[in-house]
Amino acid sequence: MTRARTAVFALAAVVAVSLAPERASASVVADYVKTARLLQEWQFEAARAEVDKLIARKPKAPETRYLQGELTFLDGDYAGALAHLDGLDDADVFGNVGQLRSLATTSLEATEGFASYESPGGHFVIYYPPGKDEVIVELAASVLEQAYEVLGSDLGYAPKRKIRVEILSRPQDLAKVSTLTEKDIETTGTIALCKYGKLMVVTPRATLFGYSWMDTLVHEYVHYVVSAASRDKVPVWLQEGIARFEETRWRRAPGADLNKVEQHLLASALKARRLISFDDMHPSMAKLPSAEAAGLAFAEVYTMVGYIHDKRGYAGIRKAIALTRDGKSAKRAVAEVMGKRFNQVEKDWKRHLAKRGLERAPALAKRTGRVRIKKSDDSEVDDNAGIDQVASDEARKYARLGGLLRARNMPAAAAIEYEKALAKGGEDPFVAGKLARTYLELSEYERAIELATPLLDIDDTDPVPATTLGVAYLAVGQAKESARSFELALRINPFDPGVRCGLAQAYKQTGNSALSQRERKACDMLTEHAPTP
Amino acid sequence: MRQGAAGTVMYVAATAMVAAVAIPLAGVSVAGHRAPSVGGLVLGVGAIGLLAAVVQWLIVRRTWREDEAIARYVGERSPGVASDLLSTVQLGDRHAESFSADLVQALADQTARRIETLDLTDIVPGRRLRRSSLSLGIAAAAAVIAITTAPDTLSRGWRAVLALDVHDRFDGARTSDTPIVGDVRITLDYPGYTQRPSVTLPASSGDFRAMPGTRVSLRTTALTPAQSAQLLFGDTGDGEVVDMTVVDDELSASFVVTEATAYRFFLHPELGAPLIEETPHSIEIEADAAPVVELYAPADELDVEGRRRIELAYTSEDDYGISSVTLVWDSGAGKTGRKQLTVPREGSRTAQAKFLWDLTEVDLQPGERVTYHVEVADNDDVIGPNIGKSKAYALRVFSPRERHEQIMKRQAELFERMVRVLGARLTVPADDVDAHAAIHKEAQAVVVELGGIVAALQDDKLAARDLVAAYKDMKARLETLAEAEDKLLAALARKPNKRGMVKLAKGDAANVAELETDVLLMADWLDRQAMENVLSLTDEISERRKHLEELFEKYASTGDPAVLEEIEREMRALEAAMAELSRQQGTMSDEVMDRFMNMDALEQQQQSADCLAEVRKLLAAGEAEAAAEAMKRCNAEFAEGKQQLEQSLDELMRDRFAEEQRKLDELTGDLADLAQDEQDIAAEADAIMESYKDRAADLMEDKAKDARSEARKIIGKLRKRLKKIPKSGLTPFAKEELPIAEQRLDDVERMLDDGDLAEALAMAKQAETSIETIEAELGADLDSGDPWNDRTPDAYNAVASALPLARELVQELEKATPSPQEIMNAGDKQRMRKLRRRQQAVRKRAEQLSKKAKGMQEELPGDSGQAMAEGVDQAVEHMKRGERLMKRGDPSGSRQAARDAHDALQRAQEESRGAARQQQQGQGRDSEPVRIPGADEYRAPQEFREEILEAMKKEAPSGFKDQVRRYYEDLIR
Repeated sequence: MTRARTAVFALAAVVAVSLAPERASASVVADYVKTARLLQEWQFEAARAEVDKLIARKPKAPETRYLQGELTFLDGDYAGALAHLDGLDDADVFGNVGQLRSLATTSLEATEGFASYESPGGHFVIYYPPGKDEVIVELAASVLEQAYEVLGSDLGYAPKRKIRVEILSRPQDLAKVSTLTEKDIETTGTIALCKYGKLMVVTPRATLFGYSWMDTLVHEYVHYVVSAASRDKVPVWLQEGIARFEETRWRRAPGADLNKVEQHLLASALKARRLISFDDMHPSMAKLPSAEAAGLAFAEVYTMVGYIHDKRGYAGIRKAIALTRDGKSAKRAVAEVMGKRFNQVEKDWKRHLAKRGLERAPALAKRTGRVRIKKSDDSEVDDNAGIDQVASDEARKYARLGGLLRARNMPAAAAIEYEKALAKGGEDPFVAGKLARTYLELSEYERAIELATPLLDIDDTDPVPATTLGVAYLAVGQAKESARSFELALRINPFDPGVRCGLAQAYKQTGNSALSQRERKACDMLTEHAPTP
Repeated sequence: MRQGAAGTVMYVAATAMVAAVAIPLAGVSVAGHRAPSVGGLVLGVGAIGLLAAVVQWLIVRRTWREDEAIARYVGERSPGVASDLLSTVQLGDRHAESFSADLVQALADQTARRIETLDLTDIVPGRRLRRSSLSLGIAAAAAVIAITTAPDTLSRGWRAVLALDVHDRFDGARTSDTPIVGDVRITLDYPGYTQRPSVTLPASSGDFRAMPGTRVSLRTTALTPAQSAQLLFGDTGDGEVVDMTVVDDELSASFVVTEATAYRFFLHPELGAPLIEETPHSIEIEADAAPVVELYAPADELDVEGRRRIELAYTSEDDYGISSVTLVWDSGAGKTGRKQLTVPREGSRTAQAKFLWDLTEVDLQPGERVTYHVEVADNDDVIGPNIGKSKAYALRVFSPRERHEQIMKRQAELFERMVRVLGARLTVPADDVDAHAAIHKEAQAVVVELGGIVAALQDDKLAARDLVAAYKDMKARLETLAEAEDKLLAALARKPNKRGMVKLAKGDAANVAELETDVLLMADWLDRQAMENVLSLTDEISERRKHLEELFEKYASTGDPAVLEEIEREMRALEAAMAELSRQQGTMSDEVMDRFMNMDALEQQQQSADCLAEVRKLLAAGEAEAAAEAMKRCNAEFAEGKQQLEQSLDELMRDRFAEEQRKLDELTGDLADLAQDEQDIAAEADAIMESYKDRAADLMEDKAKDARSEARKIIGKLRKRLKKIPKSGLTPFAKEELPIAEQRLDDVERMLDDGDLAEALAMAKQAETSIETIEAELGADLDSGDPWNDRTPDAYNAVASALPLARELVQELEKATPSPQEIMNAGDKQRMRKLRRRQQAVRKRAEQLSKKAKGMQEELPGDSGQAMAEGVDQAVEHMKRGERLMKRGDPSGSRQAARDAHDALQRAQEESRGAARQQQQGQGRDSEPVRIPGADEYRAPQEFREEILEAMKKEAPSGFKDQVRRYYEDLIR
């Protein structure tokens, strides 16, 4: 629930008390406002206790039934929520009944027929459409449980409530069950949300190349933790900064390492003095005008939180959250933590960035890290999809030709065109990735490894080099390196049968039979349920 | 053997003689009943006898064929020579080579000598011949006795057997060549389906005509007192026999006619031999003719754009009644169909109707030819319906869009070949002449196919001109390279040499460079065409949706089931088009989808499709108004999606056809600026008008009352005349314009209520312009010689009668309104002069833009330059009018002219955008059926024929029936 909505409730409640005594007694409205505020502040258990009291006192009051409905909705029982609203008019409870009814209906439609899986630690319940999405459910649960442990320690808060995670089939479903529009999703590549006390993430299957779905899940979980810990008082910029900083903590030590794409974005913006102000990130990163803007904004807040962490450690971050919860603005809270005025903090942060020696790379100008939504039903993705990431026009021309030839099973000719593109495009990562894949097809594994290895540092959300390396290492008998590369690819594109089958083989060769079996199962499922020997 | 043969001959002769007597006797004994059959039997017996004789002869021949058999026979009768005789025969026949020839000859001589001593009568006794001779003698004697004692009987018998005289089967009957019965009274009861009354022929000779199934009742008087009587059917009386009822001398019988035949009376008098008529009475068949049917179609061979409805009409007549009318079509390859048309009322002898044949019912592929005709069955339930068939017509369905897609498919196939050639060129070993020759062959084929595609595109009105030009250039370049390589390969084939090989490698590089360019160019064009095709389909869908929305409104207000039927048809067509849209989008590449296709557009289309399902549901539930509302909502969603698609195409153009699109964007920007400036001019004119109105209102307060009253009267009359305009006769444009005229009349009334005479005058002028526009539109339509439909002349007349009233209204309001020059103050006049100067400046810019657009036509996508120039030229005309009115100081007219100019500029923006992608106007308008030319003329003869056919049913005066019938038949012909 948004802050604006609560304000409307409160105002409307006052009006209702003075003008419409016949509809609800003053005490019911007051209790309603109080409970609504608790819900808005993510204090779900406290709100539940208040609702119970209301049920005992005024079980049939629209406010009581609405709040029951809202709580039931937050528990993920959408049909139950609708049942509580039965007989109520959309305009009831200051128009909130209609909104909740609509939201519960669309949520019910979007999650109809979903299966569920509880994480081994019991902290998460994952809801997903039965079928191929099964291949990521266990992985997701495992990642979230790891994050639960680490974040509890980093941020000092571990939710007691079982957290509902929904893996949605289509980005459109995410738009239906949230305030995001399809345009927001497409423009910024926003693919997941933490809202209504749950995590919602679109399956990587709905995207062209996948996306860093494991980190994204954790990113949304960080939002959950920060929202609950701060009673949802932390503004967007700090929320996103902490989430971005913490999203990789389940797999690595803290640190604000930027990949080359992020470095380019930040360095270019710093040079052109076109950084996005923290205030402009409100109300949501998804509402920024472009994927570049979103990428830049994330890089900014990521490095800002990294800077705070560098200077004050997690204690500083925890303190900032606590101060915000207690009513201070985020900027004031950060200033207090850093011991200087916020303007100064900003200046110091920029100085800090300047010292990092961020590199600009024109070849990466068109790489935004935007998640690309799959818009056709084809299982195969065209070779030239994503070619707009190639910055040089000349390079793009030859790369297109390479893609056309490769798609028609002419790898030798394709390699010639990709080489031309590479020569024109100044080591463009898209072209290099495609060329590396083409050399795999020509069984030139060493050349493939040589081309793909540097690409991992450029954009760790690109599955192409990781997959290429996995296959190439496996082919040259380096199973450990292969498994490591495939694991990187798994974090991006878990529905690529090449990744899952390759990983099964790599794990087998390294003697990791449990993981090999898991991957073999996924491999079988993704290759049309045909078990492989 | 000779003896056997003689015996056989004698037996046969004896049998023949017996048969000569026995057969006629048998014939006489049974001929009264089934003479021809008995005759056949007897002849059969004779034939069997003859056959037996032949068999006997063959047995004899076979028995004595072998010498060995004869030797055995002789040996049996003369045992002394038996062994030697048999040995001699056997040695002579088979074993001669095993023995000494001399020895065999000696045995033969010896045996011959011994045989000569034998008595032949012992060996061949004569008793067999004696038996056969005796049989022959007895038979001959019997025959002679029979012939001499009963020559008549034998003669009659033979006649019966040979069917020479059937009457002879009636024992003792005499053939009478004089009448044996009196006048015959015949009553004919026709089959029920003919609905013909019974006819009685009171004094007939016995001959008559009747239809199959007619029951005939005969009544006559026997001229000789009779015990019994029969009717013998068949030309020779050998057919069916019907017993007659005999009461005193009155004879009667009844039977049903099934075929043409003859009959005779056969009497058994109380005294004397039976009597039979020599001359039979004939029964002729009156045939039930097959219905005559004429089909009227728009043309003998019709090319139909899209699966439209075809107007067809038929007239059919039958002598007794029509039971069914069926439209039959055949599209070849075993694809036939039948559609039962309206069943005529029972017993109707004529049927005629005009109907619409919906080609969506027919399983047709574009370009396929289908023949069709009408079959009419009559109501003959006796021998089964007679079928009349009309002349067959043919049609061929074609769709420019589908044809365009076929050409696109060819391009896509060629594209694949070009990519393969490029791949081969990139990797071909430089010194492999054979491999080069193979690639060269394929390259030549590519050039040929490219030429074919260029030719096809030139006839394709959906193909962009710049596409044709691009492919032509591409072909020329590839052709030049191919020719050069051709010569080089020929030279290398004659004499391989190093210099030639170097040239070949250089040629590879040139070919690769060219193919790289061409492959990308073609890929761009394919993507562009795919998206333009999708948009073209959305144009069609939009038209359909708009039409459906109108139909829903019509149905909600009228509840007319015919409209509902039309809605059903349109919904089907729309759903098919939506499915096609989805299919076409599915064929676009991921790259295009990812980069240019907006997710919103796809989602909105999906929502729009879902929305359509909701409309269907509401319609099925009978909630017409809710369905109409839902349809509007769906259309709005679809329109949004379409808008997004247009933007997607713009994006693609900016990426792939950057230069063309940049130029168009530049011109479009200029056009948008002009439109904005013109809008400002209209706003300023409006401000001057407001000022003028205020002054006019103050001045005309008193006059306004009278003017209002008079103007209202005129408006009332004008509205009535507008209501009389048959909407169905309006062209689509006129249909859109009429509500505008009505709206302006509403505005006039509202302004009159407000006392704003100046504004009322302005609105009245607009109403007048609208009505004039409709009149001109319909007039031009009629002048074209191919009017929109048969109601168009009526619509034109109705509009023409409304126009004088519109003019009267303007005059009335003008009378009541003082001249602007009198009212406007110096400030307003100064503003007007300034405005005119602004208008002049904008007009000059518009003229320059038009010139520029025309000049750049070749460099812009599609026909955008031309469309823009035309639109701007229209705006220029309005601007010129505005300048004149501004000079005259007419604020109302000036404002209207500026608004018109602004509207024209906005339209120019839309139209140039559409023309950039070869948008076709009027797509999806195939809801209008293909009409029969001159269908009105067809109506009069039809009615005329109906009247005649009705008159034919009336009874003609006795004795004139034939003449009357012939007269009517001539008339109909």
